Amino acid sequence: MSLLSLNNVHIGYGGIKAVKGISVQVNAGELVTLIGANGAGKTTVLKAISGLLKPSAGEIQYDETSIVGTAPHHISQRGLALVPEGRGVFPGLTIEENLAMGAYCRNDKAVIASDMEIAYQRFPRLKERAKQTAGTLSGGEQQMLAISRALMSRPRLLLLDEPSMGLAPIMVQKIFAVVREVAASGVTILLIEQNAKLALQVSHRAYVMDGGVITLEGASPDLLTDPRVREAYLGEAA
Amino acid sequence: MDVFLQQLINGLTLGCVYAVVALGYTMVYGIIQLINFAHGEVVMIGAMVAMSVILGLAGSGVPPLAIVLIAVLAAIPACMAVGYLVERVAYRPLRSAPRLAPLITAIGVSMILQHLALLIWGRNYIPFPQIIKTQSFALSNSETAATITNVQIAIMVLSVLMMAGLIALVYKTRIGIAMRAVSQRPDVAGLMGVSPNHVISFTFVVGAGLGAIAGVMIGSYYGIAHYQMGFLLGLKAFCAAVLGGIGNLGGAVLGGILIGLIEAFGAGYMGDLTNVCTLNKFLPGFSALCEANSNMAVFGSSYKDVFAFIVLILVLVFRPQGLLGERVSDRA
Ligand SMILES: Nc1ncnc2c1ncn2[C@@H]1O[C@H](COP(=O)(O)OP(=O)(O)O)[C@@H](O)[C@H]1O
Ligand SMILES: [Mg+2]
Repeated sequence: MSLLSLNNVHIGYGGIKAVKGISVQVNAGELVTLIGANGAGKTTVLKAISGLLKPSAGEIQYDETSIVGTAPHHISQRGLALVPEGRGVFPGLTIEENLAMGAYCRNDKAVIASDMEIAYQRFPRLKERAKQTAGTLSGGEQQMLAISRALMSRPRLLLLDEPSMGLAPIMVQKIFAVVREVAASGVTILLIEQNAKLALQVSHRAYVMDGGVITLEGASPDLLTDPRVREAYLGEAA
Repeated sequence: MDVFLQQLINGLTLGCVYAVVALGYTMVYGIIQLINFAHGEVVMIGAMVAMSVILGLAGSGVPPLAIVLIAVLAAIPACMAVGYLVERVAYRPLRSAPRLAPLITAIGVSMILQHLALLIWGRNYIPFPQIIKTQSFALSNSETAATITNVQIAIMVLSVLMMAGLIALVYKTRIGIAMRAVSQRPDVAGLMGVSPNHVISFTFVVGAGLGAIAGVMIGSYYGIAHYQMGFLLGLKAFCAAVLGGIGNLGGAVLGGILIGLIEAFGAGYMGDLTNVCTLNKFLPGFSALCEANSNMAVFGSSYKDVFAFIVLILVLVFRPQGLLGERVSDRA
């Protein structure tokens, strides 16, 4: 059963067509990745799913109902969380307040507190700086915060927009370990990446996007060995 | 010393009112970068509604303190409703328009509210009913002792309570965190399940509620209400917000108190400081003039309204972001 399905979705910015008819399925429990070069239209797709942009045509269904035209806060209340490109932390709020914002739609104070503790255990760096404003964090720390904040809503579907962008290799490893762990805990994930190799290694299935359309799709292990992918996205000779 | 103390008390009283009004400007600016010029009119409506209630209930046998309380409790929801409607009807449709459009609209809304008040309450100055007797307390035994009135005490205590309450709201509560989140990144706040529109409405309503109480305070302090009373008051409070750094709550409080003090001390000392006869000691030549009239002030206390603006201009030349504001590049 697919938790998220995009059917022939077109998205534009004014006159510019950024996404030209893509279809994507994400089944419950899956970790699916969408890879592609800079400018392919990946971020645009995530913005449309989370309600920040409205598709000009096509259908987006989440949990069997259409979410086209639904406001972002209503979509989020239904269990969909986005870690936006560039992390999107609230720079003037403390780490603790950022996490509290993630749990904005939940009321169970005790459980929220224990989830916050889980986030701190996962990233002890965040705990050390709990009372500091998020604007003072390094890029890697902000990414930890952005992911932790998204998890504070206990999402059913987590959308990640290039979590590895701009991070040192060791930090990328740490972030991807957490992505794996979250997926293993049963959260469905749609991961967007330019780091195709890493994305294909952690995911079950993958879509390759180029110039606003899906050019390839399949099981991630297959794509890892597909000559077209190896040449274009993994920097290897075919 | 007595004059100094007296002006200090008067200045702090006025400053508290300016600060409470300035908070309304700064909250709205902080969240949607809009200068809500109609906020001064919301304050005026608060004064007018309270005045009507007091006039209606005076002599009805209800104890005076209860009448004042009822008046305040009527003014608050009235102003909140006005604040809510103004945002909903006039500003929200222009949320993504170029900045000049909502700014002009704000000026228009301010005019409309003034004229509505003119229709309801007429064009005359209306004495604000003093149903609680003003009592003065001398602060020393001297004949010229500075005094403080019960109204001044009430204004200061209430203002401090409101400022503390607002700061607790913004920094300690869930909705307060959401307000700051929306002001920093409205889109991302939406992704957290926050409805930016609800938070923006809430901000207008809280600011208007503070404005309502400020209106009652200023009405009882000056003892007069008028449909245009919100204009200059609003302008000074706006100056206070800019002086302190618009968007910054602490800045609005600091700016309000400073503007109140500057105005009071300006009014108290400007005449003496610009009295040409004091120059006579250093530059003889004014003697003839000063024999006829020993107080030849160039600027008298009637210039008090301009001090706030002069100080604002001077501060902005050196600190464009205001005293406590952070330097931000203009996003327009
Ligand atoms: N706000 C915008 N206005 C106009 N064009 C945009 C905007 N954002 C992105 N685009 C264009 O849409 C295309 C896809 O962008 P994006 O979704 O950000 O790609 P990706 O995330 O794959 O790098 C690009 O050609 C980009 O220039
Ligand atoms: Mg992108």
